Amino acid sequence: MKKRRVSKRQRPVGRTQRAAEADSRGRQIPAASASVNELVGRFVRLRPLRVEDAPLTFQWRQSQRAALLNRGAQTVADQAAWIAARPRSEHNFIIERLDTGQPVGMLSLTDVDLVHRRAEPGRFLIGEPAAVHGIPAAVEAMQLLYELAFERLELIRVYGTVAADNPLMLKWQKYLGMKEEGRLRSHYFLDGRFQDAICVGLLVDEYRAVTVPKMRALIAAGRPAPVPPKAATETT
Amino acid sequence: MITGSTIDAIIFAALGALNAERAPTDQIVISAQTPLFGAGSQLDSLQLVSLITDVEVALNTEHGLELSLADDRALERAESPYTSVETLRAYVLELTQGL
Repeated sequence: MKKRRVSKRQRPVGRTQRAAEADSRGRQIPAASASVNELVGRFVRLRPLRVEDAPLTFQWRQSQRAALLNRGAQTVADQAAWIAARPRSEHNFIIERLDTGQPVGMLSLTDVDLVHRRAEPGRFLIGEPAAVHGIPAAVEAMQLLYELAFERLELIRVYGTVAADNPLMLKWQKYLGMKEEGRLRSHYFLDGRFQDAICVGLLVDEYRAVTVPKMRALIAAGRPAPVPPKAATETT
Repeated sequence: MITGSTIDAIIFAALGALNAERAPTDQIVISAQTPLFGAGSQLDSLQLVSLITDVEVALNTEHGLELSLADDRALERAESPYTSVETLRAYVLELTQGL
C-alpha cells in the first residue's frame, strides 16, 4: 500500500498526545489550545496575536473594510485589554507576509470544542489590502487555519456566520467549500442597520474533497514563492 | 462552441463587478492584457475568488458549461491560468475542448 507522505506542517497530533485537563466531573478532556506558536506557509505565517498588536489591530478595526465585522474595542487600551483576556479555547493570529514580516491581517479559530470536535473560524480581516495584491495571503492564511482545525486538532466541523450584506465574504466562503445552513434574521447591527446573518458550515470530508484542491490551486497562482528561511516549519 | 471573445466578455463583466465595489480612484483598467493575479495585480485573493466564481457561474448559466477553474489541473500548467485575462481565457478554452 502506498504510504501518504505527511509534512511536518501537516502532521496531525494525536488527540491522546495533547495536554489534557479535567472537566467538572474529573473526566480527562484534551486542552483546546496546547499553545500554537506559529503556522507557516509559502507566502504568510500566522503568529499569535499579542497585546503589543493592539494599536495596529485597533487601526484595522476602524477601517471601512471592518464595517461588517462585529463592533470592536473603542480605544487602543480596550483593544489591549480584549487581547489580554482571550481564553484558552481560542487561537488568535496575526497574518504576516513571510518575505517582509509585515503584518497584513488577522484571523482566529474560536470556540474550539474538543468534545463535539468543532470550532468557529472568524475575526478574519485583511488590514493592509495593498500589501497583499497578487499574493494569496487570505487563501493561505485560511488554509493554515483549516489545517490546524482539521489535521492537528482533528475537528470534524467548522462553522460561522457572515453578514448578509457582505456578499464578497459569502461568495468566498461558499467557493471554498462552506455550505449555507441557515439564516438568522436581523441578527447583527452593523454599519448602522440590522442585517441577517447567513450561517455556514464545513465538514471535514467536504474540506478534503472540495476545499483543499481549490486552495492548492489558488495558492499556486501567487507570485514565485520567496525562499522560506530554514526554520520555517510549524513550531508549537 | 464558446469563443474567446465570449469568454473575454464574461471575464470583463466579472472585473466590472469588482470595480463596482472599489473606490473611483482604485478602478481596474479592463482589457485582454489586464493582470489578474501575481506581479502587477490589483486583486487580492478574496477578489480573485470572487472573479473565478462569477466566471464559473456565467459559463454555467449562460452557456451550460460546468467547469471548475480552481483544481489540480490549474496546478499542472507552467503559467498560472489566473495571471491575466488572456491566460484565463486560454485556460477556459482548453477546458471546454475537453468537454
